[in-house]
Amino acid sequence: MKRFVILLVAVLFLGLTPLFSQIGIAEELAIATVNNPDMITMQKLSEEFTKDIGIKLSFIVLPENELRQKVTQDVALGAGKFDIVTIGTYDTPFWAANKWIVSLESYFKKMSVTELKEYNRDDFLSPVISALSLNGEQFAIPFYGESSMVFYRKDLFEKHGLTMPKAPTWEEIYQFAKVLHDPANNNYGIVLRGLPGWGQNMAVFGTMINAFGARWFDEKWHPQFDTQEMRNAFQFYKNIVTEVGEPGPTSVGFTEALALMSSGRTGMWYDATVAAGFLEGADSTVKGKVAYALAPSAKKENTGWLWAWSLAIESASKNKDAAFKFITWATSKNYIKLVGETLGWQQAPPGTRISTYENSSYQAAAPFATLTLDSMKNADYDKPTYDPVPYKGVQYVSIPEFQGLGEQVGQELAAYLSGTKDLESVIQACQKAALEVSKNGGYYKE
Amino acid sequence: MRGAIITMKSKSNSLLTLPAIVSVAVVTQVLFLATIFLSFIKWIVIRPDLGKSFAGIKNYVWIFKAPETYQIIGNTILITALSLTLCLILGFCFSLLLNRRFPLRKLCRMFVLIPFFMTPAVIGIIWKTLLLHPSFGITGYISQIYNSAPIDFFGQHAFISIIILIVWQWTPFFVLIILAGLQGVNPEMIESAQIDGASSIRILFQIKIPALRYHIQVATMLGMIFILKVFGLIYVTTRGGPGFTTTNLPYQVFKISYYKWDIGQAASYATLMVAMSLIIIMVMFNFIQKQIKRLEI
Amino acid sequence: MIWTTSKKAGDSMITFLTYVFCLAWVFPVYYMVITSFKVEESVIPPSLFINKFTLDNYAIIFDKTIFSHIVNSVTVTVISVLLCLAIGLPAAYRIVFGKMKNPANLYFWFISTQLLPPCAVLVPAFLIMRWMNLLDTRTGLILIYVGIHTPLIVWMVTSFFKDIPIEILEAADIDGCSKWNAFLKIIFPLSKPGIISSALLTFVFIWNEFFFAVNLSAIKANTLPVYMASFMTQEGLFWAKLSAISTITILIPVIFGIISQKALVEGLTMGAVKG
Repeated sequence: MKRFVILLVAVLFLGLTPLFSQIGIAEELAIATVNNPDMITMQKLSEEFTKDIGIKLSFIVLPENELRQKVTQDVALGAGKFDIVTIGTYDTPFWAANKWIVSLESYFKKMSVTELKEYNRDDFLSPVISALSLNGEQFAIPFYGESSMVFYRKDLFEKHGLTMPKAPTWEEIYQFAKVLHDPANNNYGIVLRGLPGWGQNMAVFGTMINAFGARWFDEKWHPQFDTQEMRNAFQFYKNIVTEVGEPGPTSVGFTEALALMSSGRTGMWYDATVAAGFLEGADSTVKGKVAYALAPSAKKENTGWLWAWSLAIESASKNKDAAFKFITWATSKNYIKLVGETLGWQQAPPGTRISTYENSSYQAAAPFATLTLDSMKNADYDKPTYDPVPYKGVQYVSIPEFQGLGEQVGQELAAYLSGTKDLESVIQACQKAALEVSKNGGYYKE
Repeated sequence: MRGAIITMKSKSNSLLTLPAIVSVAVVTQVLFLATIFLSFIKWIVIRPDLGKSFAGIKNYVWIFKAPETYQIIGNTILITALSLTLCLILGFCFSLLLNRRFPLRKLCRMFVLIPFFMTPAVIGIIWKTLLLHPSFGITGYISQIYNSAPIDFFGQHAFISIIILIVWQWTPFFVLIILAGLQGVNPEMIESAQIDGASSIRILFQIKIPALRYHIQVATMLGMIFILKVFGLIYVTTRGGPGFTTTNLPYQVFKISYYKWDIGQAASYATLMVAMSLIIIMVMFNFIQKQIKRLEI
Repeated sequence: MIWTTSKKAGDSMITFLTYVFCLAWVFPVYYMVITSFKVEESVIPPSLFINKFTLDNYAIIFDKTIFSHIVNSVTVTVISVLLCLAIGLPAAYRIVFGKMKNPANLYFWFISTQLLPPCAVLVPAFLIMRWMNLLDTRTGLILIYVGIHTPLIVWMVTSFFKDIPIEILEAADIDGCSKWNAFLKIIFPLSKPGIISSALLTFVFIWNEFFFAVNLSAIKANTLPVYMASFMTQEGLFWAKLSAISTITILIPVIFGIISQKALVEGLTMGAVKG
């Protein structure tokens, strides 16, 4: 009984400590970020920042969907619990328009001439920066960027006498996969994401939609699912996955696909450029056997996607200057150098600064560097489709409602891939959902 | 009757229940009233430029016009009914097995009860990634050995897979209650029936089951209340898909809240869910009461 | 003679079958725990035993941030359970022993509050918590948990109170025992296993609660399930680490559940469920 009482008192005391912990903290920043390895690295290395500048940092790390829900809730419902939020190229434009994050221009102006020169804003890749700006003002700084490309096993290609062109077409990929497909030995021709989600299967399929000449909406925001091009895209995806792809595609997201590729169970993989680092990592059984090609085209070329996880400052933050110090620290050349020197250049955050790609140590450690840079420079963010469209964004439509719409279409695609639904009912369901988004959102023009 | 034994002043009486009623009421009823209120509003969080406005019954009209609503309602009822039935049967079997005396009985009981104490998120992830994954899981591996096509559990058989998970998690709850009931059955009755030459099966149906009728009632009612609300398992495994195959009302409320960000619509689904649950609970309760009365005659 | 040996053989068969079913039932947990000790690359292809043992996964999980999550989980859960008991016990007492015209109504009202799924009220909860400045605080979480889980305590404890034989209480009343004394010396001791098992069950539910925890906290009040969420999917191989954090997350409630199963089964045996 006595022990119980002591325990009780201890717990109550702990419960009251928040009252005491508010006292005497200098400046403290709350940061919400994604659980990607580059961010986790940032979390670890942030101790250096605290040592240098003396500002303490608290992190919350969550998977992409949970993070987006949480930070959107935080800004939209006015809670303001975070100083720095990690958002993507998708979120930035309308977060800026809604005034949920602050423009960074005034903070850049406060930097001294030497600081600004050292930081060098021109070093950043311009497609990425324009995706993070609104009306010429930058609202977020890219922490890491990616596009999409094809990974293939050069040893298997040699064995079968195949040659991969630098810019393959989807039809070529399909033919290659047929040769490589060997399910009896648990080896698949190609692996493609099927896991439902606008950031999962829809990222990959989104580029295929563009490649096949289809689009989400036409210039008057009328949905374009009920078209031959869109049907072609859906059918092609299903055919390639069921005939020469992995089993159970709807359980395969980025992580599972990476696992399949790095354990040598597939001949090709089309996915995010960041995967290259993992495939050359210590865990990978295919290290040194992987070569790269640009995202496949069909009717349209330059189909690689564009994405950058970026750091932005919440409008409700009370520590904006301190927050700005951190986000410039984390995106500076020095930070990239820090990662390169402490953890290896292969782990350096990719897809943000041109100087990274000009660095010889990085080039030595990352054989995929050139193709990644090409993919990102070529990404058609402003004109993603064959026919003109009123929206921006390669693998998504840059409107806030896309989260819901993309999620729904991703589920429909998964239903189609798993054979639960037929093509027509999927097309009609997507068309209906898109029409509702267009009308309710006030985009639709007669 | 007990009240007559211990007389108490009614003033101090109500003070006893007041704190409980107030806290529970504030958290559940007030929040629910807020939800009902929100269901009459049009508020799309990610479009602050569209503002908030009064929507009347438009949200309800929308959800009743949407064909997926009916599939979702059907899913909710079907998932609950199937899981409940399976839990009852399995729970019964395990209880009968565990009611005997045999070595390592306590260990076996512990094994059976463990799933109940696990977080639904953990359960979902374990089953989806470690066990049933067609490429990396144990079932995938087994089909590779036998050279057959791996079964895509959460893709093609999503509905059944969810039910398997629910049954795995909730059967222990039923075991707890039914086992308790079995252990309260008068052993003398069983002995005298055995002496009279009754077979085990007759004993089961004519002595044990009737003795357990209250236990079965409570287990079913409470189990139903909890299974209607299942959300975590679906969230972690299928996200309601493929399509709407495994979407139930709680998941739909979540999806509309956090993907579509249409607060009014989500609130209408939530209100629909609570109304429907209330009706189901009352119907079930009356049904069970009638069954019990029949057994008593 | 023949009858007893075949009965024995039948018994052994049933015992054997019981072992098989129970092992099959618990297999997923077993597999998760051994995976947490495997080297990440050796997780696939799956094997039933640990081929390459390592504690690395746990080392990675146990970085500095886990401790604040554990502290939060413990504080929030323990305080919530204590508060639930503090207000639930008197309510149960009144329902059973007080002079109420229709105790069943109040009893069923408590049960009906359980119909509400948490995700349905998340947005109003968030808004109200924000208005009261309780977002990202342990206090806010405690308030919500107490409101949601008290009915569970009321339900279970009511049944245990009902089983106290009337005769003992009558005798005490005749002897001039005061109500408070009657509670302390008769009711409480007799229903202690039941009260403990209700408390433990509530502890498990609150510990495992994920939804409100994730959404109503930001950086200070995160509980263990929230920490686990960050390992749910990742880039790169993650199964062994995921198994490790899952094992840790379920460790405490499973231990409590095992401790309380004796009390739960015995407590419920006391005719707990008579409506």
